[in-house]
Amino acid sequence: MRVRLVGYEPDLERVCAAAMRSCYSPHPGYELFTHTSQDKVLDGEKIFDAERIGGLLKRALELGHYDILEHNSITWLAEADEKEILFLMESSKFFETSQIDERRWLITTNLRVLVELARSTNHLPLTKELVATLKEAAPIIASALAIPTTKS
Amino acid sequence: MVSKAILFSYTNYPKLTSNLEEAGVKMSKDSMLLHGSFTFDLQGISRAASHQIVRHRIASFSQQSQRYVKVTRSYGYLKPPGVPEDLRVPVEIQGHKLELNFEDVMDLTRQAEEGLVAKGIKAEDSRYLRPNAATTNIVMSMSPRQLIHFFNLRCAPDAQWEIRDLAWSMYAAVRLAAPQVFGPLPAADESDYIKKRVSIVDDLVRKGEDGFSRTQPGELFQMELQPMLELVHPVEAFIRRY
Repeated sequence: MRVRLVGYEPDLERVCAAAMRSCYSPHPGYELFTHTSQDKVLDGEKIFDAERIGGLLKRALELGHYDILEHNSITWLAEADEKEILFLMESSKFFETSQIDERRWLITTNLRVLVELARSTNHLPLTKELVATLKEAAPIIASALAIPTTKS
Repeated sequence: MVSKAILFSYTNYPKLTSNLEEAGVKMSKDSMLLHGSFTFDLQGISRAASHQIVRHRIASFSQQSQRYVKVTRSYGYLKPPGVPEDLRVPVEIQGHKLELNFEDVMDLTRQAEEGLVAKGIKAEDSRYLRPNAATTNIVMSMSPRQLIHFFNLRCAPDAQWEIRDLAWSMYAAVRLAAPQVFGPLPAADESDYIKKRVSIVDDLVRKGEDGFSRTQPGELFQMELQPMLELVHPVEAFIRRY
């Protein structure tokens, strides 16, 4: 496999959903993030369960409110040539790359960039492979974008 | 009012490093500064400070809206410690002479904003009365490299007190959460003020390591910052344990 997912923050979809809701709530992001059961009353807020998180993220996708998807990083070890890497770097200010050797690179970006790549018309194989790994790091977003599972 | 800096999501560097080692890759500490993200929830900070924070690039911000969050539910303010409680200034309004302190003016602006809303003016227009002292909540994410740049500038003695206090609190938090990538600040080489405080943070991190390691996964660990860091206003720093 050319692309191997090596790092991402746990609960990154819950972080993004909390960041989104924090824009419209009197309650701060972390309080929303941890509002996962009835034990804790958060006035005017629904429980932050999978359904709520999914609803917020899907709404963000509908509205094009992609900036809330920036609160994370996803890192891959990838085999690529310089042209492919240059394409990624030109596509977003959020791509960070380190060259390991002649063919291998460490690549980091965030969920927003992956969503934009998934919805763009570019069909470079490397970007498709990066996007395909979303199913592991961000299953709700992957499902909303109807991204197939990566075969290794 | 107590401000809070909560580090609630961040790259798990031990796991990332181990995944890379499995693939036969060893990265330098400098290279790892590019590959990761740290997300803070900054609570109860002034709009003045948040305006300074959002100047930093490359970073990501999600800030509480003044259009959608009702003033009656969100109003708070931060008084600069340099403004004495009993300091009053003369003002004249419609022929009436008044002597107002900082708190009085905050109360006036709140009442006026709520009054406009009550008279049917849209919240998005009424909020134009909100002062810079009004507090806000903001979720902020940066890579380690950008955070170091932020700390170099905002931990400096000439940075404003509020953002400087926040920056030191955040620096202490990332030092404890990710010692693999955060060490002494480069700016410490040129500033005795920064050097002295970096050394205080070293001590605070050593002191906090045991408590942090015993914190249950998913729970917050509060770092002890005061009185050692000599912050000029109340700030609490927390780290979520993975």
